[in-house]
Amino acid sequence: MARSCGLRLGPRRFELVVLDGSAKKHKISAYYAGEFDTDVEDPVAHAVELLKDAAKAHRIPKENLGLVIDSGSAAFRKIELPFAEKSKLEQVLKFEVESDLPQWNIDEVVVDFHVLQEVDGGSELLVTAVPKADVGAAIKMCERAGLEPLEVQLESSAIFNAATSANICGPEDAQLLVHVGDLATTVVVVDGGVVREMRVIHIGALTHELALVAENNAEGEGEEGEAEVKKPDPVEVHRRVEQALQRIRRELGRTLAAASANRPIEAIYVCGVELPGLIGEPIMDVPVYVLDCFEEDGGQPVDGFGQLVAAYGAAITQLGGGAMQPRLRREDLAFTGAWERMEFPLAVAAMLLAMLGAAYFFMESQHVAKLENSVRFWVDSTNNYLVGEDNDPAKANMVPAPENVVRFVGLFPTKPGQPLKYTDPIEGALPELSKLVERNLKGLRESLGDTVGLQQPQSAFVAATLVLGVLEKHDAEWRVSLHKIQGDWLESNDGKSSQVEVRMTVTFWGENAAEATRDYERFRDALSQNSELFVGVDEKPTKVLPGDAGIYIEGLTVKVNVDAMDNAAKN
Amino acid sequence: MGILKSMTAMKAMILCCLIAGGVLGWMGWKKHERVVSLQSFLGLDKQDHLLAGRESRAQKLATDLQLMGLEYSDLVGELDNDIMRGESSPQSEIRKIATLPKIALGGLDINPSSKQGRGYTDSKYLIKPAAPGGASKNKTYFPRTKIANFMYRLEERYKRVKVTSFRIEPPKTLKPEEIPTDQWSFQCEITVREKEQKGE
Repeated sequence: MARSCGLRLGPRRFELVVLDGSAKKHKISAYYAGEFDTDVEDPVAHAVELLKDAAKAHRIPKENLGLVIDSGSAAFRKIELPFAEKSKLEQVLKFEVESDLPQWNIDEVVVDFHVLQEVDGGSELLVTAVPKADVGAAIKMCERAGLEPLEVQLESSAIFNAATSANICGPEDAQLLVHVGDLATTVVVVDGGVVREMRVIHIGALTHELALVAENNAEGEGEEGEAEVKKPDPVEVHRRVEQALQRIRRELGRTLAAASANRPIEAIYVCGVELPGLIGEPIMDVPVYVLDCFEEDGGQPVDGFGQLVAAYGAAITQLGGGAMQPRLRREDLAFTGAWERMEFPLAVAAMLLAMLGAAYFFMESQHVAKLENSVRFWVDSTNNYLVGEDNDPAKANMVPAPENVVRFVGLFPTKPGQPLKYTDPIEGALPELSKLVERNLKGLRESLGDTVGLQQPQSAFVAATLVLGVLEKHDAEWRVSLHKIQGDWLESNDGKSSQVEVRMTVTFWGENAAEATRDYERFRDALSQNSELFVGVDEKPTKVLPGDAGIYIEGLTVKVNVDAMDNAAKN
Repeated sequence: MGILKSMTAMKAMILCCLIAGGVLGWMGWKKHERVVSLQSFLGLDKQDHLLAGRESRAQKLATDLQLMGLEYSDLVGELDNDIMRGESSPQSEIRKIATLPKIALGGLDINPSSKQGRGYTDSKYLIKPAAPGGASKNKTYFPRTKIANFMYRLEERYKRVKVTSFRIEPPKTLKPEEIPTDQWSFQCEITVREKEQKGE
């Protein structure tokens, strides 16, 4: 069931009405009428406190609150425009009405309108203008009391909506709806159920208090030091109230006479502050009634319900009822309106964004987990290779595995269910392990007399083996006997390049010396073909063996660079 | 405070969703950066397919580690057999080689010396078969295979040992047309080069 609240905020009084139900069928669930004390030090704070207390006591629905402000500061104008589209009217309204409101800067007023009638594509508007400061002050007071009115309207529209909701304004009649406020009286001329005009009479039920206060102040200035405020004379008060009543009646009579209604005004309906002598006394033969717009047993008080009419009208408006839809917060809520329109799509978009973010995060997390597993495979495989599966030395290739490596490998348990103890990103495991192994290698190399960057001696034994290897390769072709062999490593002065000198005394046998010489030359050629390894073969004289059985070479020297063989093996 | 006062459930939800979306998006992006990093480490493309013709960092590290592991084992073996760091002296180690089967050179005279170089020290050992009866003129003769095996074993067993000089000669000077018997006298010198130790 919908709930709404109407709050009328006057200069001296306020009323609130809480409705439960719909625009057509509702019941007053709470009402309250309060009065602001003028003798307090901070009247605004006092008013805020009163409002706060009333809101709390009557549990008013803060989310659906309509505010009614005093019509005293408002101005009503009628203008005619040659078009009726609402959007166009909104655009030109301020410009069109500016010349009719010379008392105000148009930027400092809130302008609202009500279409009185549309004729031949044109429209007749009833324009309402209220200073923004007045609207703002009322809203601010409500906000300080913890209330956020959805809309603000004047007493005139509120009582009209209240009256039309109760079918008081029939299509065949015309009426005057009157709201007697604290300092001003609002009059609405209704003709055939529609508004014809509105006006404000700047006399209210409590106007006389202003005059008395002004007189007191004037006397106080004249008699300095006399702080005591004079109590008003009841006779004088009565006289002034009577005077106000007469002036209101006179103004109502003028309104009756000048009213532009097409139908005869059948009655005057009065609400607001009760002025003795106003209701029941006809004005220009037109009867004056209290505006009773409440349903029977609708929850309203038996007496004094007239003061609740404006607040009731606002509550009805908040429920979607009433013929007028005043919007004095139109500028104030321009952004709010846009925000409210955007709120739902924004919420959906935000939820989608959150879901998208969650899905993105989830998918990337899954991807990371999958890739981490792949890296883990490399780590586990390497660990197993180095220290053996389950630290089994028989399967290890790094024997004996250094303690720090075993400890590191222990951070990666291979049995299912055991948590990973390595806390850094998994891709850092292999480089870290590499550093560990490298450190161990370095230690070992140092223990072995690190020879990195140190030119090692060449092996004379290897050099001799290489030279003799050439002879062995041609063992079937050449017949050779070795008489003597020696090898010496020749260290160079620069300590970088060195070689081995292999010196041998050898006999080449043959059918004759020529054949032996040919074999010897082939041997030399075979050595020369690998000039990187055999860097030099000295020329030595040969001796022919007795009986021409071969040749004899004494001290044949072959220079060998054994490093060339090592480099070739490395490449 | 003003913001809190105007906060509705819808606004709160929008705010929470926006914050959650932003935070989750940022966290997702961080995860994505990690995905890219892991893919690069594993040598994968965006579809997690192996990049052709490119060795991944993981593969290179694993290969290097395996090689280093093997090198470590070799070095440990070398350290165990190091002639300069064994429990016995280098001379004893050399004599052990000489007593191996298929070598059996008998006693050896070993004359150690050392030579300082620029940043290194060469430890040299001149090895001669011990003369029978202790007479220096007498020489002992061996078949070529024993002599060669001896020198081979020295270098094979001790990686840092190099036979830097040797002489193999027949018992007497042969005529050119003479065929030598397989009996040879020999001597050799081995060298072990080490970096000069700091503080020495």
